Amino acid sequence: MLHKNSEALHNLFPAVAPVPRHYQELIAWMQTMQPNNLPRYKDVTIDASVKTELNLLLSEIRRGNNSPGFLGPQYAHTIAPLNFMAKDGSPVKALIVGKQSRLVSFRETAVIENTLITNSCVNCHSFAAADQQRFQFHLRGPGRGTLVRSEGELTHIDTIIPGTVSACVYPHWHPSGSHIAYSVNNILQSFQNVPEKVIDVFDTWSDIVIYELKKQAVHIHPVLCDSTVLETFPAFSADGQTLYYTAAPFRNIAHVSVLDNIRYSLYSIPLNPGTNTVAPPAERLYPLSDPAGLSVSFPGPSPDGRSLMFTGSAYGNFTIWHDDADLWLMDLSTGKTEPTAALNSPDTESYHSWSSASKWVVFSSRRDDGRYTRLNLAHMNERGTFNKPFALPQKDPRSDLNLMQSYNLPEFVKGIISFYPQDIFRAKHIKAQEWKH
Amino acid sequence: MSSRIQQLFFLLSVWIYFTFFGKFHLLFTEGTQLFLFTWDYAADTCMQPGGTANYLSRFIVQFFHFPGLGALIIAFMLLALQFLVQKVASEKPREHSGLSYIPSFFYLCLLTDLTKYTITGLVSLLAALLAVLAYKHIRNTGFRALWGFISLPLLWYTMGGTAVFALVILCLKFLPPARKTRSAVLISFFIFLAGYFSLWRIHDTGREDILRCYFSIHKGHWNEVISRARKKMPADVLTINGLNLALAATGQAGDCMFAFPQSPQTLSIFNTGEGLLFSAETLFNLGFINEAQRLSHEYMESAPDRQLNALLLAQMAETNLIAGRTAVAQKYLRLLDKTLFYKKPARMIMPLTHNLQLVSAHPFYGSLRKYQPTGNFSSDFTNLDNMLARMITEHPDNKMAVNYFFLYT
Repeated sequence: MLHKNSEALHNLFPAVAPVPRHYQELIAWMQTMQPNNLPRYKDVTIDASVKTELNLLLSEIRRGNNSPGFLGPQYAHTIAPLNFMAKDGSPVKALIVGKQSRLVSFRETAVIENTLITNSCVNCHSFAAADQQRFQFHLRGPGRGTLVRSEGELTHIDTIIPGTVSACVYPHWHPSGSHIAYSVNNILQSFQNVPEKVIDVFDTWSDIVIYELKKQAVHIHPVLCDSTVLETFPAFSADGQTLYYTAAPFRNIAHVSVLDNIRYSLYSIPLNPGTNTVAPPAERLYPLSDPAGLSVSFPGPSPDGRSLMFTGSAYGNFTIWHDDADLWLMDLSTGKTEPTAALNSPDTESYHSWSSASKWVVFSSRRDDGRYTRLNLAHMNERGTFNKPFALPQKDPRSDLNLMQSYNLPEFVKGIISFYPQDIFRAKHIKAQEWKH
Repeated sequence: MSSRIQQLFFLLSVWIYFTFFGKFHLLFTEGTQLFLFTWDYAADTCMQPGGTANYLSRFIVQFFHFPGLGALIIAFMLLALQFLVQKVASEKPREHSGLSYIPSFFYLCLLTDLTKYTITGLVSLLAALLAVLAYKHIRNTGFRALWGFISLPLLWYTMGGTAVFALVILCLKFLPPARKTRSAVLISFFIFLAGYFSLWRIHDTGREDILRCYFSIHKGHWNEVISRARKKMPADVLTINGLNLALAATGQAGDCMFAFPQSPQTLSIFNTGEGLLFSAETLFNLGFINEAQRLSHEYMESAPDRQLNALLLAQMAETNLIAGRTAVAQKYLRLLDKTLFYKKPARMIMPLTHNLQLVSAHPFYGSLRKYQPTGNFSSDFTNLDNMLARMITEHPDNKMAVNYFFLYT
């Protein structure tokens, strides 16, 4: 019960918390759009740079597909409670929902709600080149597997094969749509007790495999399944000729303090055209020497092939729980790599996704309160740097302030995803085959 | 018995039952929901099938904050059920046979465990009966048919599946009205007798005791937990778990622990059901703030209807405040500020979120903030004694943790 002894302090400070500046700007912009909807915030002023950015976003969306600065008018994300898994796997019913939204109309619809699939959850969605017709997501719990929609057909794939440590986990589609690169991970959670650290999520083992849709086969390449290395977060380049991933030397994690010494670096490996099999050797891209306090996660090459964004933190790879996690940008032609100062905040920045024209990014951040993940958008200017980011526009910006759930894995897609929950039960079942190289 | 006496007798007995034998069920039901006075909440709730019934019942349940008032509300609702059944069955009050009390007694037995059966069903049933009564009283055949055509889907959408019962109840009107005979008085007598016997058989004293214990430790009424345990020896794991915390809080762990039945489970950290609530309280009072918050959150998320929970939302605001995450605490307090009965305490706490020095100076939060570990370690509930050892090595003045550690030695 809220403690009664606080009564004496009641009059010292205002009882109502102020709306954060971050939201004031958005609210003010919303008033210019719908002046009658938010009468309570008439006194709020808007930051000029944010107003410019928001109007640019609006004009680009209204121009439609033919605009050179085209931004997919939809985004998809999952929305989940704060803690979504008990340490011992006890049956905490997670509310995990895939949602899509139109950025202008603010209409948000659920692609699939886990309440319709008893005791299961959906996550790790991924699209082939932002195509809403070709996507995949995982289903956990009863009826678990990977649901893949391609060529108009939905298949339910059991990706557990003898040669890997787990079923397929973190996905990335080849731009041609023929292959999906996955990490296979043995993931553990550890709950912490200092105020500044609540939870750590880490891999005790991880490899990378490539699933070929046509042959229904999981390709295992020794160079990506090295037992002395933890490989994870695969990402194909926009031209489909390179596979980026992160890797760290294997460590036996006997104590939480070991986690602080696990640092991932960014690697690339060429692919053989046509077959998309890997052509070693792999090249270490960043950092070139063992870093002091920088671990790379979520490599995200831009669709125009010029840049690669990643998340950097002091250690590990589950950056959403790292306060120090920031977004970094690498120029793929020069190798110049630096933090994206305009996008970063003192709190967590983590998952990110490029628009199809490489002009915008949507990224997750905990800058509002340090705990709940919210989505932010930013525009890349002609100088190749980012303008000031802003929170995802909503009909009532205050709704995110009160939302008791976190956003996760935002992705731009080009159109509305058409999917019915009952499709899952009609999906063709496939058992993936192992294909060793 | 005349109908007025029967009604008064029924009303009084329901009120007495819930006030004196179901008080903590009422408090628990109220505390584990969060009724917000906002349009968004109303729209979100009512737009779901059966949502209007949920909204109305949640509105009513918030008054269970005062158990006497809550008991009176339930008593009147059950009496309304009897009255409507009587009307629908075309019974005249003076020819009362007591048959119309059967549904009310049946529902009363269900409501003895409010943590499993909410009053939403009762609200729906009353709405269905009103719809049938309206159908019965419409004389014009066309309007009556129209009402029948509209009311059933409307009931289905606003009140849920109970609308099906409206059809069944409609059949009652074809039953012949009861005649006043000597046997009618006897039937009334036996129905009341059977109703009270069922209530006596179905009432779960143990569950009420568990909830009583939870509220006592939640409010820090340690002596109340111990004195009750001395009067009535606790038999279930959760109550003894709460009792052990009370013994540690009052420095009696070493002396009195084995005056009560102990087992390895009575010192466990539970990870399912209401055990999560007890464990959240244990960890909170011992100073493991992060874990108290996690278990509170997991209990809230694992609720069948995934409602927010006022008691736990308040505790999560406190844990975030103690850990220094003031923006998150503000978020939770803003939600509590939109309720009827948690507004005042939320507004009292809000000033603390603007200045952490005030939290440190606070007589209760300040000590828990001081006990926050500085050296990180992972939680391991199977070896809570190891966690306690780390806590008391770093903070030997954490008496609660020291005393709780005695329970393990």
